[in-house]
Order: sequence, then C-alpha cells, then structure tokens
Amino acid sequence: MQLTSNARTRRTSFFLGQQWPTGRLVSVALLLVAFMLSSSCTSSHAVIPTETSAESPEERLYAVMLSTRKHRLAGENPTVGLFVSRNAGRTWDHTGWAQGKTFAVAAAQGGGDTLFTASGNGVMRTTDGGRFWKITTGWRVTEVQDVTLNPARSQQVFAATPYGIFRSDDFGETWVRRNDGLTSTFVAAIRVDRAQPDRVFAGTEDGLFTSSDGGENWRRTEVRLPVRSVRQSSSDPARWILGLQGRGVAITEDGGESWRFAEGEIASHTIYIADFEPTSADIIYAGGWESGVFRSADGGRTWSQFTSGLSGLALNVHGIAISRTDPSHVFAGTMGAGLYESLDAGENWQPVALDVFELGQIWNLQIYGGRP
Amino acid sequence: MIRNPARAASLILFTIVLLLMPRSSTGQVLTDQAQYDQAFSARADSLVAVLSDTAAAKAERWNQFHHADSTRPANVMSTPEDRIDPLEAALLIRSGRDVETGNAVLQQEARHPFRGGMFYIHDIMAAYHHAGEGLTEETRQTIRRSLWERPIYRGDTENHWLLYYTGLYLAAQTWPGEDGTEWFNGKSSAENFAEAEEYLYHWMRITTTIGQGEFDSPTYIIVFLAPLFTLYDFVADPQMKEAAGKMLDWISADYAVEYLRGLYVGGHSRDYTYDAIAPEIAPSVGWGWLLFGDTDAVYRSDNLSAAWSSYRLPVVIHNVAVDRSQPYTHFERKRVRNMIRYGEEMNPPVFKTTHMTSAYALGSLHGGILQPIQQHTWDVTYDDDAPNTTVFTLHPYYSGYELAMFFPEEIEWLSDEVDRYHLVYTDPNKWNSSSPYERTFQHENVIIVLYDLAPDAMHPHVDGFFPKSLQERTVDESGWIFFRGGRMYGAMYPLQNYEWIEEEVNWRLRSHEKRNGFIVEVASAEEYDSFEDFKNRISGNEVDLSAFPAAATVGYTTSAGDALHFTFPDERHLNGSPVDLSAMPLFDGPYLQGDGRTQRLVVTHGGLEHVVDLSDLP
Repeated sequence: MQLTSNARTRRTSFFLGQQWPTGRLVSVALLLVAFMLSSSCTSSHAVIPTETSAESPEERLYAVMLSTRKHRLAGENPTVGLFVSRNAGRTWDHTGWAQGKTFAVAAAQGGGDTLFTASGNGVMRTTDGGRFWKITTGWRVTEVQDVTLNPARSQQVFAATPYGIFRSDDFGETWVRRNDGLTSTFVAAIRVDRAQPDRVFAGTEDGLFTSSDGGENWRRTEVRLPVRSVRQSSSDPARWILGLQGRGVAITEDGGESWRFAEGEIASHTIYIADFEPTSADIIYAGGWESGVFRSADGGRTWSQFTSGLSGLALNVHGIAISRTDPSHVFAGTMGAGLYESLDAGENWQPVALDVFELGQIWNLQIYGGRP
Repeated sequence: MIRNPARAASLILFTIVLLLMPRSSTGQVLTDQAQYDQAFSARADSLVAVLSDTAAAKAERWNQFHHADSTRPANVMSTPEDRIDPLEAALLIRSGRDVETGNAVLQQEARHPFRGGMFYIHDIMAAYHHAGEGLTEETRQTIRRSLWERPIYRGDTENHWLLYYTGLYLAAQTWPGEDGTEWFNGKSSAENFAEAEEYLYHWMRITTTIGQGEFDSPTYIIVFLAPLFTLYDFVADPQMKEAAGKMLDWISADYAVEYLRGLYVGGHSRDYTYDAIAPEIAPSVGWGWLLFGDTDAVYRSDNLSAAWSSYRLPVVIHNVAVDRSQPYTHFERKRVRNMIRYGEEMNPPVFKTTHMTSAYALGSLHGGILQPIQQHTWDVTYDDDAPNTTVFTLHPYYSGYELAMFFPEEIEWLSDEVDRYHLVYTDPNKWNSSSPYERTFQHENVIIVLYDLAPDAMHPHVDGFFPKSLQERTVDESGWIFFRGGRMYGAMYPLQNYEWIEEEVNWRLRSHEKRNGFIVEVASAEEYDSFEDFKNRISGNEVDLSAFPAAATVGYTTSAGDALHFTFPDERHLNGSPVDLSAMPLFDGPYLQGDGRTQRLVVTHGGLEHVVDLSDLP
C-alpha cells in the first residue's frame, strides 16, 4: 500500500530562490502545458474537462472508509478516506485526505483521473487522479452523503446532503441549492438517469423524490420510506433499485413509474446498498444492518441470504461493488469489520487487505472502468 | 524554590499587587472601568507568571525526554501532563523563558501526522500570533507548510466550526495572495478568507437572533471564548475585530448572569459527566476567576489568550457576575442544535429559567431532546467550599433516533459508535442526558420535573444525584427529602417509590416507575430561622397528586403561595393562568435584556449600562 498525505508528495525543490514542493512544481508545469494546449479552458481556476473520456479498460475499485473502530477522539488514528485498487482488491493506494469524514465517491465517466468525493467538509474534486484536491463547496455545504455526475452532461454534478440537494452546472465551480418540492431536506442518495439526462432520483428521509427538469423541482413518489441508496442498472436503464430503512428494497422496471417492494427475509432489514450486476439486471446484490449479503437472480422477486464467512460486525454491510470483468467477484464493505470479497457470486466471503481496512467502516464502494 | 532572582522579584511584586488590589477579587461591585482593568491585569499577570514557571519546568522535562531519543515521534511525551500545548509553547517564546524549546514544540506540533482538524488550525494560529517575533523562520515555515499538507477536518459542531473558521481566517490573513495549490483545501487565500469571514458573521448573526446551540456550557465555553479572543486580538479588519469584541461581551454576559462564585449554573446544553457532577472543576471556573475574580486563582493554559488580550470586559458585566445581594429570576431563549431530520424545524427554541441567589441557583431547560448526548436539563447548585455542590435528576435516555436527529450516519449504527467516543452514552448510570420523556416547569425557586417514559423506553428508571458533601440529607415521613449544603436549604418530593444507592461521591436516588417526577423547592438559610423551620414550612405545603399517576399531572403550592399545575409534556399553569414559554426573548431579567429581532443585548447594573449591538453585522 502506498500512502500519501493529502494526496501530495512531500518532495521539495528549489525554484526562484524559494523552497517549493516538487509536486507543486510539477502541477504548475502541467497546468501551464494544459492551459496552452486546451482551447476549451475558460476558467481561471482548475483545468476543467469539457467532455468525458472513453470507458477505461482498467477496472478501478474505490473504497471509502469513513472511520475505523480503532478511532478515538483526538487520537493517533489510522488512515481513512478514499482508497483505490487497480488489481481487483489485491493492493490498495490511498488518495486524498487521510483524516476527516468521507462518505462516498464518484468518478467522471470512464473512471479516469477526475473524482468527486462526498465529504464532511463538502464536495471535493480532483482532476489529476488524486494528486491535487479542492473543496469545491463553501461552508453551507456540509456532511455530504452522496455525489453523482450526470452521465450525459459532463459539467453537471449533484450532491446529496442533510440540508438538501446541491447542483453544480460547471463541474463544481459553483453550487446552488435545489430543494423545491422536497418535504425532507435530509437526502442520503442521488442518481441521474442515464437514459434521460433531466431525470434525477433523490433518496430522502421522506422517501424517493424524482425530478424531470434536472433537479429544479422535485416530486414525491409512492416510495415514502426513508431511502438509503439509489442505483440504476447499467444493462437496463429502466430498472432501478432502492435500499430502504427497515423495509428491504424497492424495485422499478419501468423507469420509476411503479415500484415493487421486496418480500421475504430481506423485507425485515434496513438495506443500505443494493445494486445490479453490471451485465444482468436480473442479478442483484443487497446489504444492510445485520443482513450479510442478499442476492436475487430473478430481478428482485426472490432473494437468498448469504453469511458464510461473515459474522459479527461483518454482517453489517454498507457498500457493495461487483466486478465488471468478473461478475462473480463481489466486494462488500462492512461497518466495522473492513472489506470482504466473494469469488463465487456472494455465497462465501473472506476479508481483504486487513492491513488497510482493519476494523474499517467501509461506507461506499464503486467500480469504474473494466470490460465485461 | 525559585532560583531566578528576576522571577522571585516578579512574584513578590505580584503578591504585593494582589494584596493592594481593590476588593474586586473578593467579588465586590466596582464603580468604574479602571478599577476592573487594574484588577484584571493583576490576575492576568499572575496567570502568566505562574504558567511561565510551569511551562519552563515542562520544557526542561521535554528536552530531557526528546534528547534521550532523537527518533522519538513528534510531540510524544512521557506523560500526558507533560504535553506542552501550543499556547504554552507561545508562552515559552513570548516570555523568553525558553524560546528554543517553544519553537521546537510548535514545529513538532505542526509536523505531527495526527495533529489536524479544527482544534489544530485554531490553536496553531493563535500560538503563531501570540508568540510574535520570537518565532523562528523555520517555525513559521513549518506551520505554514502544515496548512498545505495537512487535512483540516472542519468538524460537525458549532464550536468546531467557530474554531475552524477562526483559524482559517487568520491563516488566510497571514498568508494572503496565495493560490489554491498552496492550501490544504485547494482554495486560494482569498477564497478561504471570504468563506471564513462569511461563516463567522453568520455565526454571530444566528447567535444574536435565535441564540446559541451549544449554549451555557461549563465544559465548552472555553471553545467559544478562546477563538473570540484570538479573533479580537489578531484580525486586521477593524469591523471583524469590533464584532469579535461584541461577541466576547455577549458570551461573557451570558455567563455572568448565571454565575455563582466560580460556578456556571442553570441548565446546560452540553457537559462532560465530571463537570456535571463536579461543577467546581469545569473549565468555566478558570474563565470565571480570570474574568470576574471572586474565587481562588485558577491557572489554566487555555486562559492565556484572555490574559494576553487587549480586550477588557465591561465592568458592568463583572458586576452582574459577582453581585448576588438580591435574588433574581432570569430567562433565556436558546436554540436546539441543527436538527437535520425527524423535526419540523431545524432549530426549535430552548427555554431557560434560572433563579439566582447568593446561596444557590435553581435552573432549568424546559426539557425534551434539545442536544444529543450531553444535555444537563436542570439542577440546584449551591455555594459551598465542598466538592460536587449540585443536586439534579435525569432519565438516562439513549437511542439511535436521538443521534440520527443530529448526525447523518445510520440510525442503527450511531449509538454504538457514539459510545466508543463518549464512553457512557448507553450507560444506565450516566449523569448527563436529554430525554424525550422529561419536562420541567420552574417558577422562581421551585421546579416540578415530570417523566413519562414510553413502555419500551431503554433504561426505564430515573436517577437523582445527591452529593455526599451535603451537610444533611434526610427523608421525612411526609415524603419530602430534605437536604442542606452551604447556605442552601432544599426539599425534593419524589412522586414515586425509590431506592438509595451509595456511590463514590454521591447517593443515587433511583426510581423505576415510568410515570414519575419530583417537586423541588429551594431556599436560602437566611429566609428561615432554622432548617427545621424550613422543613416544617415545606411539609405543610399542598402537593396535589389527585390526578397522578393516572395522568402525568401534579400540582404544588409553594411556600410563597404560588400554585403550580403541570401536565406532561407542556401544560403549565401558574396561579390558574397558562404559562406561555414561547414569548420568552433571548434574555430577560433584571440585568440582561436582549431581543433577537434587534440583536441588541442591554446589560445594566446599578447605574451602569452597556449595550451590545450586533444589528449592523455585515
């Protein structure tokens, strides 16, 4: 594992008679080059891509560790925050802040060098793969729970916070609050419809809200339970799944027009995360409080519960990621027992990278890139 | 033994000054500002002198420790007591006692991989400016570098943000004109300055319109006063300096009016457990001595910023703090901490009532969940040289629901997580707690506390704290518990059966009935011929339990003849008329008048008046 503090190297150089960090010199040089080469750079701030890159063949697995059970107030605490693995979880690099709170991560299309994190201090952004980070938001945006980019509009970013929904139309340079129609401003999850760029789904404490005008106005749906996660199938954009407080999951197969609540054991659990297998909308994984991992092979009509290898705190699952390269390779982030993986589509589990994630509270997992 | 002749001479001088000082140090009302300023300066000088010696001794041990092993990790000391904090390091530099070690400590602090967050940025910037010219260039660069490479977590409470933005404001002011690549958060100096300024004014505005959220805390007042002193002394913008000075007036007056010879009395938003049961050791006591001067000296390094400050408390606020010649009842309106879910309002009001005398203070919040984890809803605290001079009751409530009202993480997970940090959150024996099943009705020196626990309430009991240091605690056949401490006479009427449990410093009253409560009346010894006289009077007062426990309704006629009727949760009647708490302004009493609409606080005492006007905040 390689660890860097605040995503910057500590090497220093001398420049113009002053001691300058080498990383900064390199960054300045790269920025100058980028500025000279870019005809689309209109901002005086960071270099902002105006279109997203193609899907990267390299699969990147991001793990967000909110905290660990070793943490103490003002203590000498383990490194937390954002980790990335480029080899299916075998080794990990830390990027970004090593302390503080990070709740979620989102990458620009392709999973390249542009990332946003939902953090205690606001929405953070890197455009250089994590070497330089900026908090893009001001003091009013705090305790950000989720962040997502509009797949069809490369400049549009949404943030879900306990104080409502914030939207940026300029890649995080400026943000506006967009709460019209919400009956609860506590928003835990947000996603933009890949098939309809103006359609946005927001999971709030009062249930699911949707917008059909890019987040300007929100309408309450029939799902009126607290929503913990929102995910869209990557193989069938009409299918969405919600993780619900105390009621399992809700699924739509018609783009959110109607919703079906899961039955059986899963319905008695709070589900923090549910997501589709990348190549099949019929295969779904879900995890939550004292649940282990549930899997459905029929689009969420029936569910099987798997706990083999998971016990104690590891039964509390808050993040799930399914490899695109090998869909039977599934990762589960637990709330206090670190990261687990399954090589047999969720039936058996074992811990991963204990040196990095020991007693970790893995709040969010995301996979970008990779080819089925 | 003092070996340095200069030190010996200075201590002798301080002793003479203290002896010659006006009687302000014994709590006398002062007639003019100069008198106060002189007395404050003497206390401040003695604090600096004493802490200089302490810091120098620590520095000696610090050097021995680190020189013994040059590879020892930064700022790791042999014992926690030997840690030299940033202000003490600044003291070593500023006083010239050990400039080299002071610089070394600050450098280690700045290089320490685990020093970060809001406490760090405030404390290091305060030390940076207090140390002044004695800082070496290397120390300056090391501190500056730490604000580039160190993640500075802003935190999630009111005091966290005030500390963070004070530190950020000063850092951006100190190193202006730098771009985002030079800062930990990627923002330029100008962006950081603007954001910090906007938040600081916002905090001042909300505090002076709907009140503080982390209000009146013996534990946490330190983290409001300290950054305000830092701002006052080091901001370049005269408008911000003036605003910081006014906020010092505001927070100090808020403390003064509920101050009883060193103790911060009344209901509190947040307390550590040990401050709740031993108010004489709370951090506020140090501030009380330095600002008001009517107690024995308390030397705390976190008071150094005040001791060095050019800010001077208006004498009228001092007089409000020390004059207890006339009893008074004071009312305040505060606000609930940001309630991010499960509520209709983000910041519902908190209503406070505090009855002050020279012998005791009876104070309360109106009850319910007003702050998570550390709420202290009511107590009677009395003036005595003994420890643990407080009596109170509570329901030791905990729930993920309560925490999820204020924290964004998962409801199922929060209780256990908070317990890991605060250690006692789920403890059935804890001594601080909010509870949705607790409400109060206070009228002057009388309070009725009602509990109506849900059938499935966790920890279904209520507890009462009675210190062993009480001079007397007896149970009368009438059902009243009588207790006496200092010049305070107290009487508590439990509405249900209970048991006594002996603990280290106290007796715990425990009652297991879910519908429960206590009637409490307190008096000064001077009001009665004897304690027996007090007992006889109280025993004869009417307690109306005709509806209880079928309904959570009780009545009581006080010794002064006032009839209180209280139905849980919020039906309060005084002499037949409903009590409307919602009309309560920010401050209302003989000494403090404040209205959130005008953002003005008027402090009056005797012929003195001081107006704190924040209506012109940018």
